Amino acid sequence: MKFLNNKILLPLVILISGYGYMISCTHENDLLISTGPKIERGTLVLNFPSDGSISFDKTHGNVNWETPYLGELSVLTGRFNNFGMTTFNFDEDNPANTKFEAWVWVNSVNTSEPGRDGGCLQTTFGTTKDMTTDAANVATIKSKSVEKSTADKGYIVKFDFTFHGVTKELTGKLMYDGMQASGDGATLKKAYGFSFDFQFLAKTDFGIISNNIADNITVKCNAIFRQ
Amino acid sequence: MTDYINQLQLIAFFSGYPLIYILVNFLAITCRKENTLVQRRWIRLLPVAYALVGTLFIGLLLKNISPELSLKNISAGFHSPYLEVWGIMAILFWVPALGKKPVFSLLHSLPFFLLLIKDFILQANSISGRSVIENDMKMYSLSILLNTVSLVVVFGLSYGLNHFHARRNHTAN
Repeated sequence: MKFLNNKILLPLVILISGYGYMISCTHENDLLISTGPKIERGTLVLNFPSDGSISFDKTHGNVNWETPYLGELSVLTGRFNNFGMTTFNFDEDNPANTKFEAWVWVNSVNTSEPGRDGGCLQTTFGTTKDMTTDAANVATIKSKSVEKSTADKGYIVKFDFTFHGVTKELTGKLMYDGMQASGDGATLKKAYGFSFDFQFLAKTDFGIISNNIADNITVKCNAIFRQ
Repeated sequence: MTDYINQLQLIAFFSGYPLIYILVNFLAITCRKENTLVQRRWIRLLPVAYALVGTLFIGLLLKNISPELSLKNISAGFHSPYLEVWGIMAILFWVPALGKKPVFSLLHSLPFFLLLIKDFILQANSISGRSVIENDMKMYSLSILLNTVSLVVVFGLSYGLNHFHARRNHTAN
């Protein structure tokens, strides 16, 4: 049987085997390496207060905190009634241009319990109800660096948090929540939503003494700007 | 999916044999001037090695069918019945009459080698198909190794037996 001649069969089998090995070793699996989701950001630029057309809408913003009651039970929540934005410069596509500075009056804490809000909390914070811009009464956040998040459209912010006489660098997450427009032409109004979340160790890092809360406090800030 | 697994099993056992067969014959022709007795023994033992691989294949099938060797289990275990029955027929090469013609073992193993070629043709144009070919080539490499080891084992046993008989005859004389 001529076709079974070794001189024909051997190179043929080797060629076929070699072809198979070549196809199977194409390293196409490398294409499966993921560098993360494709994130598309817009080009929004906001500068408050340097851009006079931008205003901070305090009425529709809030600063909330929460911590497990007694350190490990259900969450105890509260907010600060008095807060404001010193500066807010936002560049959606170039986070190096994003900077912000904000404040709260600590003695404006509101947990819906007047007795607690006006009593033991003031003592814990080292404030009194009649303080205003006293250093002990003002907690501030001041951004230092902002980078794009690789997991979503948010931004990772390193900032200085000043509270209870202590300043410490923390890391938080800034999100641009979107824009709503109403009216048109001369009556066009835009509202921009932002949120900023972070956590800090109230007892370990900021000297808060209390058995009613956990060390870890979660803070969630929401801000609306209008143009 | 089970059909594909069965196909991989068949490739793993039998598809490497044609390469081993052709290589042994090629080397026997190339090294004609050297120990022809040894070369003839290698060629003569090829079907025996193939029969050994076939026996191992039956062992795998029995393992898959057990613990209950019922007709229902046996028929459920055969997902590619024709090819698997063809594979089982490899044990016929234990029969000396069939073993005298080594080329029959090559012909018997060719359908399994053709399984590889079939996948090369049908699966080469898609990414998932290339994964299939990758699996096939892993099984093919395994098959080459299995058939080589089988041939070496059979050769070693044959050599050992012959040596034992020669010494026995020498002692008897």
